[in-house]
Amino acid sequence: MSGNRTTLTVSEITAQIKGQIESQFSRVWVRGEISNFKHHSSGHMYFTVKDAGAELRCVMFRGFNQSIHFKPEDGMEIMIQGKITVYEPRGQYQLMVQLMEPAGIGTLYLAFEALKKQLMAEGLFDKEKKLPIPAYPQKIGIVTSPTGAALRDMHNILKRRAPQVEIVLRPALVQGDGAASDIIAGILDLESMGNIDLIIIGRGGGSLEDLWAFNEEALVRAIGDCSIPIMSAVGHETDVTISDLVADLRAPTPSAAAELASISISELAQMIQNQKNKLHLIIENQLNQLWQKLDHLIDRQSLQHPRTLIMRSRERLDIIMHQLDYSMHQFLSMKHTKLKGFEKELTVLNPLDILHRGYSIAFSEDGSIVRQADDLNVGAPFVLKTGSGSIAAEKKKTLPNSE
Amino acid sequence: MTKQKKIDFEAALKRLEEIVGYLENENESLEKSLSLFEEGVKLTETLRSHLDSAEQRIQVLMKDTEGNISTKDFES
Repeated sequence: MSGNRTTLTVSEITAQIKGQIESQFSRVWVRGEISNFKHHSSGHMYFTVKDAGAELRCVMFRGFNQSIHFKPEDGMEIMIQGKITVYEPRGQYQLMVQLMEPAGIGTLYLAFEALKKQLMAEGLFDKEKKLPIPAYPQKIGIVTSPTGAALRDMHNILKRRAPQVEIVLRPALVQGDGAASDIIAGILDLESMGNIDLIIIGRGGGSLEDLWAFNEEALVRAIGDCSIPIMSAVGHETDVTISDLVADLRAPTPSAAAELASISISELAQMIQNQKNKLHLIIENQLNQLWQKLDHLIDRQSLQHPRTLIMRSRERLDIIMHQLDYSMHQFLSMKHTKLKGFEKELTVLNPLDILHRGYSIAFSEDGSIVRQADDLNVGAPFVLKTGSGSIAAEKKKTLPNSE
Repeated sequence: MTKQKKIDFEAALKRLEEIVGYLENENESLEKSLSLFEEGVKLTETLRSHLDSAEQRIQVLMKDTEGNISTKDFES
């Protein structure tokens, strides 16, 4: 009956429609006015967006709608991004929304992107331009609203964690007209105090418009120019401002900034204690080593009995004296023997000794020895010296030699 | 108003680390070591007492009409 006709089941055509539509509109931006807005108790949001000519059903699931920083209401002009999905059982299509912004933000967003691009090209966000965050800041300057949650959060953490840190608050407007210039003035004021180690600028979360001051060029440049390290702590982790990009360190939240800015007092105390322990250990070691050296020296014999050295010298001296004595003695006795020999010789030669053996010597009157008979005239007196006593005599006559 | 003795905490801590490092690595005479040791112990005491007396103060920066900056205690 209908052989030439290609017939599709409802499911088949719906599946084809689904395939085509979902692949074609997987990521679209749509602008329109909210109507029939319902925030279901499950957390999901159901609404339609419309303009003068058409309506589009929308759903924004809980996981996505938590990042919305404003309260969507009927009649509000919004921009939404998401994908078209087809719900086959009802043959309906809808936009599954992933991002929602008030429509007015579009121009801000463009300005944000343009400024970011420009400053990045200028090198304002370069790592080399970042000042190091001090490890032990003593005085932290904070530029924020004096009544905001950001200050309260930071103070709570610093009070508990690092009471040694002094805080100087420079109250400032953090949103609306004049906020950017007030924050700039705050930075300059703190800088002019001359004793601030670190500046934190921040505020709690808010819409892109609320946070806008932190995207203004003048403030971004003032942060870049500041001679004191600046930490930015703006909004929630997902809110990134241009101030965050130029700051020396970006803290995801004000609470995190307080943690990042300070070393905890207990850690510090522990660190100091460790150093003190080390000092004691080192000195003790050195003293022990010196004692050991000293003990070692004392153990050496010469020091243990200081007299030994003297005694040893004395012994040595004694030996030398003995030797000296001995050789002196030897020398003397040798000389003595020699002398005895001389004495004997001398005795032998003594003329008087000859007299003892029976010889006599005749001396003339003038005392000269009579050697020849003719030395004396007849009748001349002479003295005859014997071994024991002398004889006075007179020459009678000369006798011939009686051989 | 300020009970805490003003010290340069970071510089004092650096000096302390320097002394410990020096004593650890250099073989100094006992006299020099002892004087460094003494300085180090004094530093730890100063730093300790600085921490012990720590009591967080928030001051608010004020500016008069002539632009002079002053601070006063902040009551939150």
